[in-house]
Amino acid sequence: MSQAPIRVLLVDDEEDFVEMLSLRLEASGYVVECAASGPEGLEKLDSFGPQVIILDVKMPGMDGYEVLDEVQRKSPGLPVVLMTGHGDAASGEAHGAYATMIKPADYLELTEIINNAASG
Amino acid sequence: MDQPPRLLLVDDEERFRQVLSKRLERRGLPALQAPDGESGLALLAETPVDVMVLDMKMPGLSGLDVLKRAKEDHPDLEVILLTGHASTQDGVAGIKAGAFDYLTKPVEIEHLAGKIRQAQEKILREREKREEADFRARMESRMIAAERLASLGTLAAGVAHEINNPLAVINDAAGWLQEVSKQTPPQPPLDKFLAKGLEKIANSVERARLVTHQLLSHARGSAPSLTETDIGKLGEEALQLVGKQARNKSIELRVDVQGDGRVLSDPNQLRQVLINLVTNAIHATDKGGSIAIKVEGKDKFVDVSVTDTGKGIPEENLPHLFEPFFSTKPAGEGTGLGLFVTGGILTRLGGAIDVSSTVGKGTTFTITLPRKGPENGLCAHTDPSTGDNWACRLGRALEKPTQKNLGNDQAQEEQS
Ligand SMILES: Nc1ncnc2c1ncn2[C@@H]1O[C@H](COP(=O)(O)OP(=O)(O)O)[C@@H](O)[C@H]1O
Ligand SMILES: [Mg+2]
Repeated sequence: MSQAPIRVLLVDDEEDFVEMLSLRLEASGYVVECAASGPEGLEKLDSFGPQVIILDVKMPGMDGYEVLDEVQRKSPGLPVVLMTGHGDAASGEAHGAYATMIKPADYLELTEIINNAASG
Repeated sequence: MDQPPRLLLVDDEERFRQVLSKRLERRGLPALQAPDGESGLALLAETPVDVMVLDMKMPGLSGLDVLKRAKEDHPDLEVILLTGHASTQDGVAGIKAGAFDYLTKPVEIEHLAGKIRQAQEKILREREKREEADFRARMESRMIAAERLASLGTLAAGVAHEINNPLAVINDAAGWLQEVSKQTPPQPPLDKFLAKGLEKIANSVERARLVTHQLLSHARGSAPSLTETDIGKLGEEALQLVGKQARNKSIELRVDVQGDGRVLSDPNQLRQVLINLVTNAIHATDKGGSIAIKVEGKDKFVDVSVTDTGKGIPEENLPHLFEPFFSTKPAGEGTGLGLFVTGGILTRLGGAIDVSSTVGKGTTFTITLPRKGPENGLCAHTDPSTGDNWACRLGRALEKPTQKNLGNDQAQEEQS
């Protein structure tokens, strides 16, 4: 990555997951901001200004789909990658997600998707 | 009724029999004939018969004996008895033994023909009823199978989710460690990174282990090993095992036994049940609260309740408590398997569980256990090797969203 590093917002209630993925992405040169819930993620939309959002589906309170709807309303066109532990991967794109991945995601695949999403 | 009934006439008086059968035939009711009880029964054994017209008073086997034996082998057979004049007692005895009706000799032919037709109608009605019941039973067993498949699907999705999350953590922790250890020169302090990544990996393995092991204990625990079990003592043991968690929150624990708390049951599985309930109670209770296990010995059952002064359970969550992976705890803290496993164990032990809760005040889970083992339990029809009616009861609980009782209604009846 020769240009400015890609800014990724990670929204997931799984603390350990957020911590490890963000460290790994940072070690690969991304700038990462984390949020532990949908509302917190939406707050950071403006303050952080991500180019890509990685969003968990199953979260207490506001779930991933609700967050996705709100992101599309607030920042139309901002690419969102849905992450889920379930096999409900097909439904993400129907909701307007850029891509859907099942945990554990293949890291190369994930970074490729992030790079494409940020440059698209 | 298009088909005439298959008719058998048993009477020792040759002439009477001939005349009667001719008259019946003229009315569209042809009949086989037998001159005595023995040959009547022999005929029944080889020819299908719907209605038997049977003389009560015959040499050899009496009509009553023939009736009893015939009904034993052919429960669907309808029998019309012919009794002598003024022997109502015979008729009454016949009815008691399962006869359709009795007529007094001399027989009025129209009356007999009418009775035969009524008997045939009854046979058809019974057959329809049976077919309907059969059909319903088949549908029910198919629905139970469908419900079980559905809950298997829920279970598989839940397992996938609960295992995939720790796998994802392990995946990224390992990848991150590879990344940082490749950097040259390695960024100090590499050992701190290592410690952190390895700790996450170990934690995640532990979390996945908890899920698979709980599920396995659910599967493995299917055959309870029964022995005399003192529930009061089990309660003390359970409290000792979770005591540290409770002390950390300065929660007061106590066990109170009233009456005889001994049951024929599986102590290891019951201890697991108590630990699950008390652990949940500790999680729900704030510093300084209290948790009480109360054992109440009744005649045929023993009630065990776990009461906490915790935050309570919102009404809308009650129907979901016993579903696999239902949890309101933060990710990584609850597996949502505790009550699912508890429900399975109790079903296999012939028990039931009920919950009452007030938000902000506290919760009581009440278990009812049969004193003399699962055979005498609340779900005696459970197959102990498969825990079979768990699925059907879970199904029923899900059907009626307000139902909080995972047990059998019999509990209340037996208790009151
Ligand atoms: N004593 C209790 N007080 C309040 N809530 C409870 C209690 N016991 C169980 N629950 C609720 O039931 C849910 C399911 O419990 P359980 O099956 O043991 O799974 P877990 O404890 O892993 O969440 C809990 O997440 C909690 O919301
Ligand atoms: Mg629990």
